[in-house]
Amino acid sequence: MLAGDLTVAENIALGMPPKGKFLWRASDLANRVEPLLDSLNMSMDLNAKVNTLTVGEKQRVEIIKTLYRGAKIIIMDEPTATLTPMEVEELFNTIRMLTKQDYTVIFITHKIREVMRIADHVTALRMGETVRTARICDVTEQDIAHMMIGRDLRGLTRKEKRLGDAALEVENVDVLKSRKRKAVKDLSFSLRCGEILGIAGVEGNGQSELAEALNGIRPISRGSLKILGKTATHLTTGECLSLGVGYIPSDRIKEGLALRMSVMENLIVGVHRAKPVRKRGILNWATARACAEEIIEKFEIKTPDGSEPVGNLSGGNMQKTILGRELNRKPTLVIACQPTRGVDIGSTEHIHNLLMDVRDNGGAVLLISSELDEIMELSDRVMVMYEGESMGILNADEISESKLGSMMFGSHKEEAKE
Amino acid sequence: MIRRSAHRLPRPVYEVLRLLFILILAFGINSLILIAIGKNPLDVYGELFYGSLAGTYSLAKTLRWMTLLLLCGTSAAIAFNGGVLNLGIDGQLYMGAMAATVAGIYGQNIPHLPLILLCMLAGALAGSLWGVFAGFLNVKCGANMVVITLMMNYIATLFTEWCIFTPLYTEAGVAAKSTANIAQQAHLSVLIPGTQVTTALFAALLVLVAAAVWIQYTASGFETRIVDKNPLFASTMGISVGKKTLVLMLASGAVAGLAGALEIIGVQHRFVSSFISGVGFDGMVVSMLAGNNMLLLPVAAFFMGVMESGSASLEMFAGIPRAMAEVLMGIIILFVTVDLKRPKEFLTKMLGHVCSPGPESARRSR
Repeated sequence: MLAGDLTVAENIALGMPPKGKFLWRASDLANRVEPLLDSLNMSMDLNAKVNTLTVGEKQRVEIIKTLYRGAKIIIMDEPTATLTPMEVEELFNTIRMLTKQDYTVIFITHKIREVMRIADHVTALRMGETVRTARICDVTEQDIAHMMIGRDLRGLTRKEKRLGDAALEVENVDVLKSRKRKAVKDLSFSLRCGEILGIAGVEGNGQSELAEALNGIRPISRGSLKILGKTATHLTTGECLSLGVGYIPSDRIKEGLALRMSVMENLIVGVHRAKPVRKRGILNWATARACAEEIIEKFEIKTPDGSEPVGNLSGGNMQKTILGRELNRKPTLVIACQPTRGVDIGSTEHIHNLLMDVRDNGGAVLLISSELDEIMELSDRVMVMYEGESMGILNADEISESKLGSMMFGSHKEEAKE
Repeated sequence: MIRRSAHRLPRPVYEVLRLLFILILAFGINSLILIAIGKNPLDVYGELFYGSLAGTYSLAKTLRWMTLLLLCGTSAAIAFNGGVLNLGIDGQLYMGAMAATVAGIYGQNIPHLPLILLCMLAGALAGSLWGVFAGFLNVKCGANMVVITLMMNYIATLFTEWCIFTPLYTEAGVAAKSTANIAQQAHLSVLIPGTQVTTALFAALLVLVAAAVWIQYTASGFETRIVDKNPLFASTMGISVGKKTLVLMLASGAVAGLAGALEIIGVQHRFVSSFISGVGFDGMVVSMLAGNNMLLLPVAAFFMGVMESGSASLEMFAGIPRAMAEVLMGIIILFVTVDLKRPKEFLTKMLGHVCSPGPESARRSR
């Protein structure tokens, strides 16, 4: 946790100012911080304000802050969530240097590949209990996956791509973040039925604003949008939904569910105005319950029953509830934002299969995710967003982690094709 | 991951237990205050309940208050169930009452039943307009609902007082600060002779049933509850939060205005300035006591009716100032607004299994 308005030095010394000085400056910190920076081969501007730093730089400040306090064991919880591949590599270098100097690092992550790359030992936890601890040299990726979910991952089968009509046509779209600033700048792309278009990029580069604009939640200030052939630039959310759009918001707790309501009630939102749930103006809760139970079974949502408050479910099951609700309406276009964030890998696999099914059955999927693995596994084409602009659209056979990584960092732009 | 499968209480049961717990706690603490001022709590409470329940006339007084409080409570519950903080029920009630008075005074030539209906309609309309105006300021101009509705109470009170002295001025009414009497045929029939219990009670119950059906069995009521639980989710699913707010203010204001109208044609028969001050707020307390649950509103309204009529009896026969009852009400309100974790733990130990309430709205499975 860093205080954005304070400088790097102030953040590092927060609560533990240099001894003996009533008024202190960054230079007073130097004699303690310099050796730390040198040992880790880092450079840092102690007088910079934290909110001007990049995510990677902020993370380095956090690490130095921990060391300044005399920590010998450093615990990192999902540190790579918001990093580009290059920044991940830099972080790993830092960790390796730390361990060389006898610091201990506990690295919590759900990304098995990172575990294999950086760790010496791995402990898998499931349902709050330790499954097994092993040395990395003794296990494979499949072993770790098996430890995490108790069974083997089945992997994704991808059918031949069969394209249909245009599902989404976005032309020169601008979306405003606040009164003057643009979150999305002059974006154009199209998505056809029968394919998955992945939008890669570190979170905060306009992806959520784009998704909200496509669903009528945020206004489009310039450009045009067509959903399934119909002009949709100024439609409301309700109208978009009735066109056949299924929307999975990026923040499931804030935007996707009513936590204090039951699973059943959350599942029927969206169909609650139509038969069979509502007849002649009256809601039939028995029918609603039956519909909900069908969805719970079909989507394997783990819940004691339909009347459990949805806030009691695990993250993965909450996400499956949202997917169940949206996909049960058989939408033609699915906009999925960070669909597996904070979700266990068993449910992640299931969700990936569900999205693939939509594509195989002639639907279109717009997958917005900051997890490169997910993007590369599912997408037929990939577009990278950086600072609200498109860095280019690549076909599945053209993508590589390094190429996408440099696009995500803004240092590479593909020329428009087609 | 499945949490341990807990035995969950149906929400109404949980709300009743919670209410009982609050009342017991509040009565207990109030006892200490009574002892401190030298009164015997058992005498005081005894008189309170005796004066409000024993005998036809006592019960009638309680029912008379219950009618009014039930309507105000329904008005509050309609708004609160959608997360709309309509604190202007008092003002909406006054506007409704004034509208009904005007209809009653000028409708001398209209026969009994149509005139009654006209007064009720006028009251509901006036209340709903007064309410939706506040809603409009909130939705379109971003005005704070709490501030706006509270301030409009004052406007309503003073406006109706102006009405008494200017457009509806009568010589006879100057001293009492009231208007002329409404037409005789605009009076509601009395249910229990010699009391103030009128057919307004039926109207109140009817409105309650309609509101209860609406909140649980219509799409509009369902969407209202979603807006309350998570407005961001509601708008993501295509529900217009602004529209819902306006609809709720219309409905809530209408019921409040109707309450005012029924009060005029049932009991007052003319508009006396500031005749029922604060009953709108009592209505909000009723709704809060009931956990905003429509099914519990009659229970809460009855209880507050007991408090209201009992405190009058307390003052007359036991020489205890009415203020004592208000102290008790204050303590109850304090506890109502607290989220009591202890009762849940206490009940868990007592009943032997986890007592967390079921979801706030769904029907039970099976």
